[in-house]
Amino acid sequence: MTNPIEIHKHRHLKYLRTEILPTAFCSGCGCGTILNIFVNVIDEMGIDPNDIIAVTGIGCSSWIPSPYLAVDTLHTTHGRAIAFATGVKVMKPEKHVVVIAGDGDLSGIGGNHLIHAARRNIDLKVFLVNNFIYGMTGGQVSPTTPKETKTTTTPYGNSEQPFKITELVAAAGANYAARWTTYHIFKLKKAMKESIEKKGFSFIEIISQCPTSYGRKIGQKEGIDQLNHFKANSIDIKNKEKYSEEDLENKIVVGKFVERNRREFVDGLREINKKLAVSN
Amino acid sequence: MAKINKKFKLFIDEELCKGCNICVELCNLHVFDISPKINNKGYYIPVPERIEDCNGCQICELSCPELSLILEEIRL
Repeated sequence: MTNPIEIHKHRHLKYLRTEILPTAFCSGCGCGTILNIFVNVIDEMGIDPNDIIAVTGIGCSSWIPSPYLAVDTLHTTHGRAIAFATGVKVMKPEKHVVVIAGDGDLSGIGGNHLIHAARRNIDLKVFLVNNFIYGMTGGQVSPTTPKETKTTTTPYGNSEQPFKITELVAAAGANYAARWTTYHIFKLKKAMKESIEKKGFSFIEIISQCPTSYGRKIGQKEGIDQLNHFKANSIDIKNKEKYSEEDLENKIVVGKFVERNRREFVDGLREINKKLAVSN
Repeated sequence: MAKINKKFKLFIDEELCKGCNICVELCNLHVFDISPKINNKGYYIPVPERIEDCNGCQICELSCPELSLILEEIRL
């Protein structure tokens, strides 16, 4: 008599829409790692999935919440994820409104929404998945593509300077801004927990690998090659002073950039509502 | 023949694994090997060949992009 084969399933699959698994992500893509860490965080923090509203835009990384997360999701037009999320948060301030989208979506097409949401300091949790390229459409240059990289639309090398998104959001007035990579999984998990607990605009830029559209162009064909590159080229923000600006150009500065306690947008809005209600 | 780890068990969900080898490369204790076995989607799935070395650090489980790696602690 043979023993029946034990089938083991991941304990966090209850947070996912399992009928469409395996994911549509390429083999070695970092988006799946971020999905894994996010469900781990909501499991450890004991957040009810019914209290989460995930908003997303267009792109590979926008597939992380929609369709895979089994929470209420809004899959919106290109670049407008934060604009939709602002409306959701104002009407439902008791919910955790999470935006997970890519660098092309949030910093390229929807760059204005990002900086103005940070300026208003509205209570959104924004996880920007930065893979340095417009991956889904075939590898076009994005606002975060490093200088001199050859892409589909810059076959002789990118002549533009990339955006430093975390620095930009921190300067725009966010309550929490951090940058981590898919190699720093435990730091990223801790940062996600901190950002969910923090009231106000919380932003994490997650540097992720794209083996298909970006890795192949720079000679890092597998996801693991890019992870090793992140490992070798990351500098903690505490050690940033030791390096000159030229040295930092091709490095990834990781860490928590800012944490402060400015007044939140919806709170300010409610105060005005109360004032007007009393005077009338 | 692989020895048995008294504290941790590792399972691979063969339906979900895409053979990206992130777990094989990131494991500091080199627990995994790429197996010659192909799953029904055509990927070479990893096997926890040296399971007795596993210290349960969760790197493989957390960095798995497909949630196909399951680490279980054996509670006595």
